[in-house]
Amino acid sequence: MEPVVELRGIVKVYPDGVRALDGVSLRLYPGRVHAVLGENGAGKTTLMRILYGEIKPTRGELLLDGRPARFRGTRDAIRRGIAMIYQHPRLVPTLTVWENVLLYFASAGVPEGEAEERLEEARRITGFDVPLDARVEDLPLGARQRAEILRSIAAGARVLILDEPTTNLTPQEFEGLARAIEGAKREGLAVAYITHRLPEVKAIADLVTVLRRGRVVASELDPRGASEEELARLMVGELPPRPSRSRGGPGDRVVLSIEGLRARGRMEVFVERLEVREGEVLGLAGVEGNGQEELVGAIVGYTPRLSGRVVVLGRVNPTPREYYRAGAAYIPGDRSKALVLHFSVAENLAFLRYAHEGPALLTFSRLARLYREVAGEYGIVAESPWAPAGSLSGGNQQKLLAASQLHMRPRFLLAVNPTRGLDVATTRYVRGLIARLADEGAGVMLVSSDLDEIIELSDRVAVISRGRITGILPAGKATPERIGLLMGGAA
Amino acid sequence: MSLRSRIASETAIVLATLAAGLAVGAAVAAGFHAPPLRVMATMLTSWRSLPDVVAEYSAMLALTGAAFAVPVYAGLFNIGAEGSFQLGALVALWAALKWGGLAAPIALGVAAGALLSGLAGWLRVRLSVNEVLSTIMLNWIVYWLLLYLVATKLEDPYNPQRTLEVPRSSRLPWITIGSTQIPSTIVIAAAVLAVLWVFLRMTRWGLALRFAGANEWTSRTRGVNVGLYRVASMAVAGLLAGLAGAIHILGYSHAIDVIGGAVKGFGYNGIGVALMGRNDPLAIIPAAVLFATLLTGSSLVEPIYGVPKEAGDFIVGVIVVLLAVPEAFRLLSRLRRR
Ligand SMILES: Nc1ncnc2c1ncn2[C@@H]1O[C@H](COP(=O)(O)OP(=O)(O)OP(=O)(O)O)[C@@H](O)[C@H]1O
Ligand SMILES: [Mg+2]
Repeated sequence: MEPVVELRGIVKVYPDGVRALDGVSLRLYPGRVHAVLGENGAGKTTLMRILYGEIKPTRGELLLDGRPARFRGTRDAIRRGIAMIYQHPRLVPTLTVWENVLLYFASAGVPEGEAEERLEEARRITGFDVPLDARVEDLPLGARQRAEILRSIAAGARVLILDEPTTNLTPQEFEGLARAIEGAKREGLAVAYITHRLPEVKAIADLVTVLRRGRVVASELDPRGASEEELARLMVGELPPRPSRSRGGPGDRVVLSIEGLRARGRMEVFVERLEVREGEVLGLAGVEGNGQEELVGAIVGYTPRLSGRVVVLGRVNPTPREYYRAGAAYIPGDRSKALVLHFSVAENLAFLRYAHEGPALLTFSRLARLYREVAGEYGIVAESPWAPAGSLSGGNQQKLLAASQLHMRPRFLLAVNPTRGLDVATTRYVRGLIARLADEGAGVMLVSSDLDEIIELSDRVAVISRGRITGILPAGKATPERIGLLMGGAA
Repeated sequence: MSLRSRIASETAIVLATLAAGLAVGAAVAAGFHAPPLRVMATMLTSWRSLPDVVAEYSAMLALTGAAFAVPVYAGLFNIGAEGSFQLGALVALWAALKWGGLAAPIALGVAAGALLSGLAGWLRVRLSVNEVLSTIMLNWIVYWLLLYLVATKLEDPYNPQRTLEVPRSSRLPWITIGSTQIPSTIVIAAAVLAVLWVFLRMTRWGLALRFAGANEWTSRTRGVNVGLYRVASMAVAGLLAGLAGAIHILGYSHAIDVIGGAVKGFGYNGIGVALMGRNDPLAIIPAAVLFATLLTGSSLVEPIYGVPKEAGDFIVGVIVVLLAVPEAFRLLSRLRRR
């Protein structure tokens, strides 16, 4: 079969000398889903940005329908039928979905008169339904992503690039996405699919290519012929063992207690009673957007508490500063909100580590020392401590965020999706760190939309639905089925 | 991009825009039938004939440039250096006439500038009053107050076109280098900017200030009081501009004329200096020296070559705008994202 696009011998050296790709070739075929796998920093996003015309390769060529093509920018790529969906939707938040569609059509060169008809067609192909007159900022991330896919297909995309599309999706939403991809395949679209989640690969990919440190280590494999373990080994070499908890049982000291807490952000949450003891991991499961954000904000103290009490390490209703000073730490769920991408790696690290309390003087040598210590301990790969955080691969940004908090040696850790975007090996590694923290006597509250993660690490699992805790299960009873039932709101 | 390649590309941009600006300047001079290269050479070496003026203007512009730069780190645009400068000068003059000495005039001038800008910062944080509008309005209030006092309470009865002069005990000394003398304000300004740089780049509070401006959400979740940092950044800006005004009157002009010419323009020109200096306290120093050199030079082209002063100012404007464009662009795109 003839590929729609082919990348040949692509080399990419970033301006600061990072060799992100070193002779990579990739072919995308019509009606096929080609999964691109690789550890954090392997070069997956870089390769896709080249295909999308966003950055230029240092060497190598791009063939479109067998003929050499050159993109001066993403606009060229869009006009030639290439569409990219990023992890974080790039719609204009203050405009409506419809206005965003028209904007995109303008750069794709689609006449406005055809807009509705084409959207209808795309809706049929994907099975997606997005409210067109809603403002983007009022929509959850999943809906924004559906809007992006919808408009790309409506604009006549022949190649669809999805870079870690499921990081912000619920399991149900993944099924919707899989159906949409199925529809796109039937229409003959070529799909590039980047993910760290191997079950997804098995579920939807037709071909697999694995990158490692900028090189192809396996090309166009048949995923049905390879087990998850094999794929993982190809990606990262030896897998570290699964983290295990030496469940010594929780201690007596309560490190977090919540009583009759009512808090309001985008929605209202009410928590009658919740406790985390030292040496214990309490998982908080739930479909995203059911009040997790508000509860987390109310614990740390940046979302107003309307009534009730939160006690963190003996501090009653702490402000954020008191929260950290008491010995607690917080890994937020959205790294792009938590970091300043145009500030250096070292500055981000120092800020997240020391903002609440720390040395007055943060000289360059001190920042460099902090960076060396943390990067060494947690395996962060950056060109230098002074490189902008935005030049790190997604996974390394996530490690930076998690490492800044673990470095505090907290006695209570609130972690929200701490392994989002991490490769299999690093995911195990970070989960291992959290397990060890608890084994060493800290209390952990783990908020995650990944049920496996919750089940793997938690001593008890609380489930949140529509702003209420609908049940708390001990580790032995916390099966996906039971949790799923409670997530739906069944008490 | 690494630091070194960033500095290299930044330097290339600066040199290229500077060359373009000089070329435009030469063309303007040629348009007035003056020798283009000599006109530009005169403008660029004005420190040879007027070293004290260039030194003083450099010092003032460096401080007012910093007064624009600091709030930018906290995400605010301070147009109020002009008002803080004039208020600082006015209060310092008044205090010098009343008590003499240096301590009281400088301290009060600085405090007055800080309070004025701090007020604008407070209005922004507490009542969401846009700081650009409030600082411009405050500038005008200070300006009319100044004109009123200069012509009434502070007027010199023997020299009614200006105020009484700063008494000897309140004057800052001058520095002698070889056969030339320059005001000591340049030393003060350089020291203050160095301290500022260390504060912004090497302290926890400087880091917190920069994060407060760049990412409000993460700052709040880390226990940084964003509002407080915003107000403080404005107060520091006022402090810097107020200090500039105070030492200008105590160290250089000694009196204010009835149209306020001695204290006019430094604040607004500081914006250009900050943009040329990429908002970095250390880079602001050469930017201020360049601006001061060109400004002084533009006053020389008329007597020497018969090119009208306005044409000289035009040339200065072109060069400054060209050098300021990249940073202005960056700031505006950040403002839009806000
Ligand atoms: N803008 C940039 N400037 C400099 N280096 C960069 C830039 N973007 C990426 N890199 C570097 O290129 C390498 C590959 O990064 P890339 O983002 O392509 O990885 P990835 O495979 O997508 O990883 P992840 O799974 O973590 O998202 C990394 O070493 C990264 O630090
Ligand atoms: Mg990536």
